[in-house]
Amino acid sequence: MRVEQHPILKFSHGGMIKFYFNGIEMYGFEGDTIATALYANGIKVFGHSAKKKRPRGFFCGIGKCSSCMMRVNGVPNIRTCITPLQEGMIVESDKYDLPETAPYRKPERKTMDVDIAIVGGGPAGMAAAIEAGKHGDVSVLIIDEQPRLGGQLIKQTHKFFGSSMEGAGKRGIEIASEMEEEARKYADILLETSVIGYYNRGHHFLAAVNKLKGIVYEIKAKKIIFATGAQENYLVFENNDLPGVYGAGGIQTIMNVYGVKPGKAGIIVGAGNVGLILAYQLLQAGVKVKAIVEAMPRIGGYFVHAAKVRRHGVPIYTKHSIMEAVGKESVEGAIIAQLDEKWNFVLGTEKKIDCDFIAIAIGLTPSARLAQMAGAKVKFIREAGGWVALHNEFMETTANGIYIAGDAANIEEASAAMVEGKIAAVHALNSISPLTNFEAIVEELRNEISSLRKGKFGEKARLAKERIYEGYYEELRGNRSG
Amino acid sequence: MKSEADVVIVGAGINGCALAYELSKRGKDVVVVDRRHIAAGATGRCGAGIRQQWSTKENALLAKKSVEIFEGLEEELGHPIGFRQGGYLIAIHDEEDMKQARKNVEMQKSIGLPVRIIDREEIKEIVPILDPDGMKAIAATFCPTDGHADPFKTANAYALAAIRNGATFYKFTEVRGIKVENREVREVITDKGSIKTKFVVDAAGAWSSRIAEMAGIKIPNKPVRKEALVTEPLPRIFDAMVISFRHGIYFSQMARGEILGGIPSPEEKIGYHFEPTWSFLKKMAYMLGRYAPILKGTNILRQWTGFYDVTPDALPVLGEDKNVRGFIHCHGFSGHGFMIAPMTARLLAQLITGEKLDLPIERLSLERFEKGTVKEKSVVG
Amino acid sequence: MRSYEETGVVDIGMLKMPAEEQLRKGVAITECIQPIPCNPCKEVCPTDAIKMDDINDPPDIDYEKCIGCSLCVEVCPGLAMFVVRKRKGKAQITLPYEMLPMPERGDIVKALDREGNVVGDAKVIAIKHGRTNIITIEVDEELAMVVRNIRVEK
Ligand SMILES: Cc1cc2nc3c(=O)[nH]c(=O)nc-3n(C[C@H](O)[C@H](O)[C@H](O)COP(=O)(O)OP(=O)(O)OC[C@H]3O[C@@H](n4cnc5c(N)ncnc54)[C@H](O)[C@@H]3O)c2cc1C
Ligand SMILES: Cc1cc2nc3c(=O)[nH]c(=O)nc-3n(C[C@H](O)[C@H](O)[C@H](O)COP(=O)(O)OP(=O)(O)OC[C@H]3O[C@@H](n4cnc5c(N)ncnc54)[C@H](O)[C@@H]3O)c2cc1C
Ligand code: SF4
Ligand code: SF4
Repeated sequence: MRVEQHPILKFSHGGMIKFYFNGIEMYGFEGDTIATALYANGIKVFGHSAKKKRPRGFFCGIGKCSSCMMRVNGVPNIRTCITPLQEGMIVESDKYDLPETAPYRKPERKTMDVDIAIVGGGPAGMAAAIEAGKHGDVSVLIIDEQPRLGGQLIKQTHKFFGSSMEGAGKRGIEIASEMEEEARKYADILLETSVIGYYNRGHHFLAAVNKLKGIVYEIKAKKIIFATGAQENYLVFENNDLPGVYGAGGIQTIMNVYGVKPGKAGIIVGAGNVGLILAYQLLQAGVKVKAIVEAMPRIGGYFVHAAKVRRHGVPIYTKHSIMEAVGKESVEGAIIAQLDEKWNFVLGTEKKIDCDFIAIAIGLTPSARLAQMAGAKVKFIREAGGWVALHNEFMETTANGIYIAGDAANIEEASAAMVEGKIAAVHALNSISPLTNFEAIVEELRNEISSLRKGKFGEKARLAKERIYEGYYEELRGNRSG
Repeated sequence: MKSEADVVIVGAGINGCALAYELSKRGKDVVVVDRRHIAAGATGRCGAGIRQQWSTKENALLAKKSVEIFEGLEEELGHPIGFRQGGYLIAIHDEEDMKQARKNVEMQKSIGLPVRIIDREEIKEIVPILDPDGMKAIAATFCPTDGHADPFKTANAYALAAIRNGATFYKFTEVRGIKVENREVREVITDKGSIKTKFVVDAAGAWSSRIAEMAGIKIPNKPVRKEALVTEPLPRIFDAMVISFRHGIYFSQMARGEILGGIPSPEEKIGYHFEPTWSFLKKMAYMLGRYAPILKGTNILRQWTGFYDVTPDALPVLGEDKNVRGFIHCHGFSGHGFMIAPMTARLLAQLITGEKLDLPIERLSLERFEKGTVKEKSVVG
Repeated sequence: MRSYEETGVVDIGMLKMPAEEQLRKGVAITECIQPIPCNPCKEVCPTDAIKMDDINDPPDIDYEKCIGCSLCVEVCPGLAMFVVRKRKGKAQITLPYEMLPMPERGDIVKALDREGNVVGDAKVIAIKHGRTNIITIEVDEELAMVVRNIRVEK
């Protein structure tokens, strides 16, 4: 199920790699993860749940959930969706017993001391690094757990919206490459390295781990910018744990980064921009999209995105949702039905759609946990996508010297994420050593971001930001009086 | 909010919830106030180990009586509490330890506990992943009726049963003051209103001294940050709680297979420090690897902090205040307030309702600190 | 009539229509009718034919200035720009095409409307490879405002 040809992407697969799945010899390509290699071999079921023995496949595809875990070379609980395939690997499903001896080597310990540490190398993080490097003479470090920089951008084959100034009209993958080249001029970069914790040790301190290479980094930083992006939301319906039910981001990853199709035909739940774009990207990869269902009475994403897929004959059912995934070991179909005013299914309107995957594209939740660990006060703000770190206009959280930017701050889009990254960087820089033109730079960035948030689609972001700033200042006042 | 109650309990941890149940069972009109929710304090953050192997007879008895209650608690409350009796395995590191262990075991046996000293071979039989060399253990004591319960489930089960009996819980409600007149408790003032009462129970865990202060009472308790962590779930390997008083380490395997444990962190200090530390994580990971080498490389899911409410002798303060009538002390539990809660609650309920107490509690009065105290030896963390 | 926000299909009545003579010259038709923060079309236009005071305004094309160069068709991330030119009873439509297979000049392909229905045949008369490939097809004149996509069957 590899993507044979693609109108936008060229997949240059590396050499063939032999591996074993439950004792059976299989082949993947260099550059595959274990999960994509298995998928390309037609393996969808990655194991069974421990108690009820329900089949399990991958869901998020970006190492944030735990449904793809298998035993690899004797080590239990390996996230196969982010673990690169290696020659001779022994991959086993449903193996829970401990090995005889721990497959463990003592990690190497490295200490670092930087001015600005940036966690997350998506558009927000890269923009922050570039801005910091341009305006000041400081040491900047980007840490990202993926094998390459770019965050969500590297899966986006479509041309981006937004301001021409932030690269709109170019494809996400192109913006990622251009920014990466810039960022490398100004920052040191640690890839495949997860930041696992923030600790205050009299100074800001991050602990990070490169599991593959066995390195533990202890990073001291004057300022930290968390640009950690967001996590896929999940939806409750019958059989939602069947292999073949995926997060939208997971599908984009295996399809657009690794060139493996999620299936032959699918449906998408959610007609926001992510769902609409995903539909279009599936069509480009030669995968059928049987329907897009949307619970709201209106399409949530941009009309132009909807029009793109409608033009290819993809139906969009508004006021509809998914009732049930059908299938034994993996998805064989989906039952959708209409919703009434109270969000109950209207009996008698059920439709069964034959498909072999179901994509969940119902929104994202900011990944603000690390910022919270660093002392940033969080608050539930619906417009922002959930629990978010309160911050001010300079993207500084309630914890001194701790910044947040991009989707991690509140769910928006790439242009806004980049500008936020820049604002955070400039402010951090200025508080390390004052810039002469600080006001002017910030003013310009502010104007740019407020124009992005002006229209109808910016309403949510405007509201979210208002409430975030409000919460920030309330918290600050509270601290002073308390 | 109710304007009156027989008893107002401050804190919905295991102690507040258990006492609410015992009192409501005796027909008292009880109100529990917590500024957060049930098990938001130390209760929801603890190891929830239940140990009867104590160095003094009084403490061992208190724990033993509690275990007897735990054994029938699920049935009594009508809700699951996740109680398991996998035993406690306590490391003996050298001859000096051995001397103390012999003394303890003798006393513990005398009150009917099935404790025994086991050799290195048996350590490995009971907990197959342990490496006695790494533990630096020459032997261990083991009591198979010690165990573990789920702290969330247990606190909730007590609360639900109390509510069934008519008790009222006010969550996200903070106690801000206590009105005392003529050296008697009159009223509890919260941010949501006031409640007239004759009895207020200070079961506020690490915040107990603040509550006491509201009634003009000074107590010597100090909040001490404690840390714990939990690993990813592993296959079921062992049922016992492994501890060492010397290393301060304790860990056991949870129902789902995770290993949960703690050790004093090198950065431990007194005060309300909520932040987890890197040095704890490293130390605990290292010690776990020494105790059970197979766990090296196991992923850690979470680390967190909680507070011990520590008194000079590491023993709780129980009973009515001598100067303020109606002010009931129920705090200072250090690292063992969960295991004795069922019995503590029963005794305090007996005290408040004027029944005869099953065990004497005078030795745990606040006044003991004036005389100078002897610290309990068998404490961890 | 259900709104385009429910159906994902624009009602032609909502579009600004150029005069016949402008159509004979060949001009851009924008189907970008919703306020979204986007402006590459405006930035790319060589004659400043696209008016947009604010980045959220939908583009407004000045047909006097538009020369039908189709640069905006190529850059638009919404694939919402088309160039239509009427000529000798036929309509030439320039549209973005990001699918496979690629047709070749002279191929007869299926002409699709805004819902993906086949409404006739189209002849491919020009292909320009760029960031987005843009293809000019020829269809019957009455389909000038109907056809917005093609399907290549190989
Ligand atoms: C389908 C889709 C279509 C989109 N289309 C558009 C569009 O047309 N126009 C537009 O402007 N925007 C678009 N967006 C939104 C845009 O992609 C995001 O808003 C943007 O990528 C957010 O950038 P970010 O840098 O905040 O986060 P991300 O791009 O998500 O990057 C976060 C990075 O942080 C890393 N990270 C997280 N936690 C850790 C950790 N603990 N340790 C190390 N690294 C960590 C991650 O690996 C990741 O690389 C789209 C998004 C999607 C999903
Ligand atoms: C890491 C760790 C491990 C432990 N391991 C064990 C173990 O294995 N076995 C064992 O027996 N014990 C253990 N303990 C100790 C045990 O957790 C405590 O002794 C016990 O939970 C105390 O319960 P409590 O109900 O007295 O207090 P808490 O559970 O702390 O409850 C106090 C409550 O009071 C509330 N409160 C505070 N101030 C106010 C106010 N002003 N108004 C209203 N409400 C207020 C708080 O919100 C809180 O919910 C451990 C503790 C820690 C921290
Ligand atoms: S076709 Fe050319 S001239 Fe006309 S609006 Fe588009 S870019 Fe401008
Ligand atoms: S580039 Fe396309 S989507 Fe963007 S404003 Fe112009 S017409 Fe609309």
